[in-house]
Parts: sequence; C-alpha cells; structure tokens
Amino acid sequence: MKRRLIGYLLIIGILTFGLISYRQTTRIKSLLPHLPAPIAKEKVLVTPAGQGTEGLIISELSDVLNIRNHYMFWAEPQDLNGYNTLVLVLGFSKQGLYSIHKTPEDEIQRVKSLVTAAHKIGMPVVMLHIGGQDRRRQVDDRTAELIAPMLSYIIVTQDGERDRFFTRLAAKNKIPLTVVKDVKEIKVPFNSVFR
Amino acid sequence: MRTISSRFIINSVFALILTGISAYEGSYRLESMKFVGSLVEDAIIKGDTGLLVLAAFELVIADTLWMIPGILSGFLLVDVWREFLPGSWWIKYFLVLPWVLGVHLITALQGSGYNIIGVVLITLLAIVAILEMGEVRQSFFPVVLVIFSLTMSVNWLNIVPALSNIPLSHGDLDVGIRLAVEFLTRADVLNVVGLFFSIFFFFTSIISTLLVAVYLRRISLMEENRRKEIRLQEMEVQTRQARVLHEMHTLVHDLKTPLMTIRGLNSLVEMNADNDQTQEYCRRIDASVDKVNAMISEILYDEVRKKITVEELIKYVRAHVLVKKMGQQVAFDIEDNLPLLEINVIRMSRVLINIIENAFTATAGVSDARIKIKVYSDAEWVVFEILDNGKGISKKDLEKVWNWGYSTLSSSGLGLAFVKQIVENHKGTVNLESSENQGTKVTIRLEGVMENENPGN
Repeated sequence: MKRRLIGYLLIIGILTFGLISYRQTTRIKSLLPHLPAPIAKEKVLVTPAGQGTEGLIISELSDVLNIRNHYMFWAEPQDLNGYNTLVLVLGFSKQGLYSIHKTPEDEIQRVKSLVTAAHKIGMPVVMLHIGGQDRRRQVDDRTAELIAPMLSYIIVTQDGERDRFFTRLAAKNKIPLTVVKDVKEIKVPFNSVFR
Repeated sequence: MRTISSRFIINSVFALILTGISAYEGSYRLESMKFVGSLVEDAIIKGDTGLLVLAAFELVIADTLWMIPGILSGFLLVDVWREFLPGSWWIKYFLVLPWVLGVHLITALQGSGYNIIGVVLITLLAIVAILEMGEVRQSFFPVVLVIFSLTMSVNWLNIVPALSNIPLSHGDLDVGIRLAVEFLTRADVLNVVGLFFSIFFFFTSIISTLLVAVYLRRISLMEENRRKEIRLQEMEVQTRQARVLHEMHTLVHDLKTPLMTIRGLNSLVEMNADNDQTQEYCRRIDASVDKVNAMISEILYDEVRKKITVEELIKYVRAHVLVKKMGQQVAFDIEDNLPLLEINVIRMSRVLINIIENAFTATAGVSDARIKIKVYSDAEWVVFEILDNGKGISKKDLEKVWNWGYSTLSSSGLGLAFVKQIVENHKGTVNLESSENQGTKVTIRLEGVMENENPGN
C-alpha cells in the first residue's frame, strides 16, 4: 500500500514537473517588422555559422522568394567574389560540424574571417537566427557577439529571443533587428533586405 | 550473510559497459546519426515531407538505442545488488535516478545538446512501472521492454512540433527536423505521426507492466498454494504416524495377555514337573517371558529406562543392522570403561539403527565407501559418532531434515524426526554435519550413569 502510494505521488510529481518545465510562449512584439528600404543586392551567398541545417533552409527560402543565391556550407573570404550580399545563419550543430570534421573553434574562425572580409569590401552582412532556445548555447552567443559590429541586419525567431539577447546586441551595435514568430514569418523581413 | 558470486561481478561489469555506451558522446554516436542529417537535408532540398517522417523515425530509434543502456544499467545494478542494500526493496530503485543523472551529466560535459527533462521523465515512469511489477520479478526482460517503450514514447514527443515548447530531450537533429517541417509548412504530419507513436509506445509500456504484474502475482499465488499443500501433506503424515503408533500400542499391549497365559501355564508345568531338567526349562521360559514383558513395556512406554552397557547396546544394534551390509567397510571404535547408559533400550537401539541405515543408503554406489561408528566418553557424557563418506546432504536440505515428513529419499520422512524426539526425551542431544558429496557425521550425546545410581523408573 505504501509502495503504491509513493508510486502515485511520483506520477503526480512527474505531471507537476512537466507543467513547470513547459515554456510559456509569449509573443514578442518586434519594433521593426521589416526594413523600410532595401539595404542589399542580389546575388547572395548563404552560409551557416555553426553548420546547423538552418543555412540550407534559408537558402531554400531564398529560392522560394526568387532571390538569387548560392549555398556554401564552408564559404571562405575568397568565395565572396561575385556576390553582393552575405547571409549568415547562426546555429551551432555538433552533428553538422562532425559531418565536415571541423571543431567549433574552426567554425568561429571561418565565420569571423568571412564577415571581416565582407565588411572590408562594404558588402552587407545579414544574420539570421531561427533555431530557437536549443541553438542558444554559449558558442552561438559568443559568435554573435564577435561579429555583431560588422552586421547590417539581424532577423531572429522569438523562441531564441526570450532573454532579449539579440535586442541588446542590436541596440549596442546600432543594427536594425526584426523578431518574428517562426520560420514562416521570415519571408517578409528577409525580402525587405533586397526589395 | 550472502556471498558475492561471479554472477554479481559479471552483471555489474555488463552494467558498467552499458553505462559507458550511453555516457560516451563520441564519434560512434555522431557517425550513427550522420544518415539522419543527410535525410533531413534531402527533405529540405526536395521539399519531401515523407523523407522528414523517415528521418524522424530513424532519429527516434537511434536516440532510443543510445539512451536506454544508461537507464538500464541503473536498474540492472539495483537488481544485482538489491539484497546487499539496506531498506525496503522498492526504495532501492530510487537510486536509479541519481545514477541516470550522473550518466546525463557526463554526456553534458562532452557537449551533448540533450535536455535533462526527457531522461528524468523516462526514469521516473520506469521506476513506477518496476515497482508495480512487484518484488518477485526475477527476469530483467520486462525492465528492458518497459524502458524501451517509455524511451520511444518520450523521444517521439521530441519531434512533435506542437510540443516544441516542452524541452524534453531535444538534440541537434530534433531541432533540424522541427525547423524543416516548419519551413515545409507540414507540421501537422509530424504532429499526428509523433503523437500516434508516442501514445502507442506509452500504452505498450503500460500493458507490458500490467501483464508482467498480473503474471508475477499469479506465480506468487501458485507458490503460496504449493507451500500450503506441502504443509497439509506434512500434517497428514503426522496424523498417519500417530494413528500407526496408536495401533501398534494396542497390538503390543494385546501381546501381554497371551504372555501372561504362557507364564501361568508355565508355572503350572513347573509345579507338576517331576524332574530337574523340566523345571530348569520352565525357569528359562519364565526368564524369557520376563524379558519379552520388559521389552513390551519399553515399546509401550517411552519413559521406561534400563541400565545397560554401551557394549550390550552396540551388540543389539549390530545384530539388527549388519545383515543389510552392501559392500561398505564398517568399523566400530568403542572406548573401554565407558559409563553405563540408562535408556529405553528398544527405542535407543532404533535410533542408532535408523542412523546407521541412513549411512548405508548414503554410501550405496560410492566407491571406497566407509562407515565408522565411534563411541567415547566426554566427561559424564557418552558420545556416539556415526560417520560416512557418502553423498551427503545439500545446505538447503540440512535445515529441513529434522522436520516430520521431510525426506530426500522419497521415504516417509519420519526417521530423523523420530531420532531427535527419542534423544531429546533421554535429555541428550543430536547433531548432524554434512557436506554434499563428502559425507555426513551424526553425533549423539547421552548422559552416562554410575552403576549404583537408582534407575529413573
């Protein structure tokens, strides 16, 4: 009887634990729904910053929006020739890095040199973060802080912006920022970069 | 105190290997997930939701297979070491939780992206299921089945986009699949598929738990019935024995009537006898009638005692037992100048015959079989030792040999119980030491008396 009672208390505990762990999604109102005027031109080089699948998703999204683009998972400064805009999709994936046999440090160095090169030649750099809280680990934040001064525009989904990290980063570096609800809502602000 | 056998060591080593499999977040795990990543990329490029469902399916299976060894290892360790840990049996299963959290911490230190909530949820539900199965569970298979089902159930929830706000145990690829399905605007497909499989596996775990619990309860009920049946049989044997004893008493008592007739007629013959030889024969008949009468009294009344030398007792025993000798070497070693015994000769000789016959049975078919009967004095005690090098008695049987109706030889099971009763009635002690396949030693200690002491009866 005692054992059974503890079992049921455990189930109640599990349910309470589940409820507590449930993240309430609050709609974050974006101060800037989209850019008032285009800041970049096609053709676009899309590359992931962290080798998450998000890079490929943004490239496919660009195709849907008829934005001429090319996706390179390991774009380096010399690859910028022939492109007018650099789109970085932030999100570190251990699996993604393993599949190309690179470390997070290799990736940070590549991203830093790529963004620095783009900044030097005056190429607009747009950063997107769509992976939510699961892609907000220390390495993601560190990379974002490292390249923030050279960015032209940031688009993030609200799941990854609960702590207002990107809002503070954008305000500090005076970069326009748009917070969207989810991946589907990226189309408008992303299109506004070019049109 | 239980000893640690090789089974404990092997199972513990196996549990640690399982822990190692789950705790190592290295290249093997990443390599096994590589094809899932490729499938997700293909699905994004081709806009194929079917490929995403396939990727989700493979991811859930791969995640489950990497996750369950760590959880299983905790339950296996508790199963193995349960009897050595203090406290109620079910409290010990809560130790699995810190164990699993430890494994999770090791993976987290290696940069694993998995959340802790999923593994805690699986472990707590598994503990409830294992407690529900009960204490008598012997097999580990039901635990494997339940943990597999629960892990599959929770891992399917990971890829349900509608529940992406619950941080169960999202890994890299869970995020990839969720984003891909949002991009393809087909979240409904994964919602339905994920929830369906999650609920399916959850019910599988509940049904498995209930089936095992019902089965184990039935087994324990059968075991209880079997124990009751054995107790009933023991009582029947005791009743039968009492009835036999009663019949025997009546029968033996009835012998006294013809014996008295013999004595009466014999005295008439003696009185009328006109020669010395006939009178001498009559006196011998009378003496024999006295002896038979005394024996009948000893048979009928346990408390009847007679002073006798050890040599006389052994002579009486030898006359009854050695005819059954079956090739064993039998040696008697009787010390000189032993004190007298004041005993019920008939009953005590049956005690010795019983033990010697057991020694013959135990040594039957044993090469170089030897039986030694040693009698010596120890202060005021006379000690009888019956040793054999026969097949011996196993440890578990040793505790029960004194019980009425218990036998390892398909006999009535009354022999040693009778021995113990008679020896204790004589204020003596009986002790049995035995090792399987090495032999048995029975020691009987009886109090010796001086020749001029008055008999108790």
